[in-house]
Amino acid sequence: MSAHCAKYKSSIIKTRKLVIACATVIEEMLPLMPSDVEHRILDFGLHTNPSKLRQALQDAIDASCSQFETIILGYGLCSQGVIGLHATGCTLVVPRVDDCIAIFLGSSSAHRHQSRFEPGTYYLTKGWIEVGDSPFSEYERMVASRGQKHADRITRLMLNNYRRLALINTGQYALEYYRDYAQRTAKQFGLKYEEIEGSTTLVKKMLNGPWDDGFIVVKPGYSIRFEDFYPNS
Amino acid sequence: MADKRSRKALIAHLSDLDETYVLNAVRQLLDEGQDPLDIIEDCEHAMRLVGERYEKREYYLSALIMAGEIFREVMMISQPSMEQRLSGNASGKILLGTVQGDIHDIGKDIAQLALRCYGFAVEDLGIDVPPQKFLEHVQNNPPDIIGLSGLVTVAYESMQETTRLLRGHNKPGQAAIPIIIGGSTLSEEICRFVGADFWVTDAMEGVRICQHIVQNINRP
Repeated sequence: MSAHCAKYKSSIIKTRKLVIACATVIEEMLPLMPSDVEHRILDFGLHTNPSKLRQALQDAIDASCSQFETIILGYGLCSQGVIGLHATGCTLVVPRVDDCIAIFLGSSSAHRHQSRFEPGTYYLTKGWIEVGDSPFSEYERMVASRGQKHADRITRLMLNNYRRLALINTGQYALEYYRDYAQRTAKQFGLKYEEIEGSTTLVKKMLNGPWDDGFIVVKPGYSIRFEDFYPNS
Repeated sequence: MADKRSRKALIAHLSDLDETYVLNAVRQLLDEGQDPLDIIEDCEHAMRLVGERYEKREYYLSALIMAGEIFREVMMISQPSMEQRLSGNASGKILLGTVQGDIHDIGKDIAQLALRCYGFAVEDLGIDVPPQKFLEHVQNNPPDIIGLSGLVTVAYESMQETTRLLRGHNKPGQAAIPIIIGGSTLSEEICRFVGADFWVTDAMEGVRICQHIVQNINRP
């Protein structure tokens, strides 16, 4: 009886989806997450070290792929952190985008449009502000540890050629606190503040499909390749 | 050659981001007649240590920026001594720029200084440089090597577009000017995607490749 139950249970679980996402991206996914989709969150700090990010993602995939039919990655190319990822027992789905900015803006083309319009843009979202890993949060740490003069000097170098600070409004949360933070920050560092309308289009497609040309769908046993992100090149 | 202990101390203090010590030590070593190339090699070693500490999350991004700034200052201080040693013709001509869509220039600026320290003449086109601008400069004043710099992912396609444009205007029968792409997130796969000849993730690696290329050009 118990063996039969276990077998029945596992066949039910196998049809389900799992999201593995960065701490910043999950903020935009959670309000839209269907109740039958599970999720795991990986540390935002991994984005600074693509090989560590790749290892953390592979470990998370390996730990879960026997229980799910599809694993959706809440990442983009992300400094190639997703290249080489594979799953033997399930399908991997990853949006065909450079990084999370395109996910917040709703498409790769929207990201490119913004990049062309003002390449020197520092983007913020609720998730980015809350994880506190930006030159602005680092400024506060530097002031505390080495004084304001040093912090000013290094932050000027870090933000060299940046002209705009853009808060992406995806409409998923009350914006007042984050708007206030972003406006104050822009003023403090001499950047032009802008609020950019985000979109939930890509997040909804990630969670519910269809996984069209904007996605890389990797069958069990195959790996995500760099060229998958540039199918027309 | 500098005393082993003082060279070790220079490496340790740069990896600890002790700017005052490093700059004073470099001035003293140069005054004592030490080879500026040895000093730069030691700083390069220290920069690798800083990178390792960043990867271990012992350092934040600001430490990488600070280390880069100290390295830049060391090269500024060392440049006159380097020029004395390398008096005569330039080692080669390099056209350098951060590609369209990217505004990051810390790595490019360090590369530019390092190349000048090693006797190269560098024409730097700045940031967010359109492919057409690279082409115009190549046609007006052909360099020995073209360096395309970029940090963000959007730069990969710009590098590809620039490389294709430059290759498309190559004169028949004339050897193509070598293209090096540089940036901390680059890889062999990106180099293949771009169609460049070489890729580097740090400035000194770039200098060595440029030296190698120019030696081959000048070989009878």
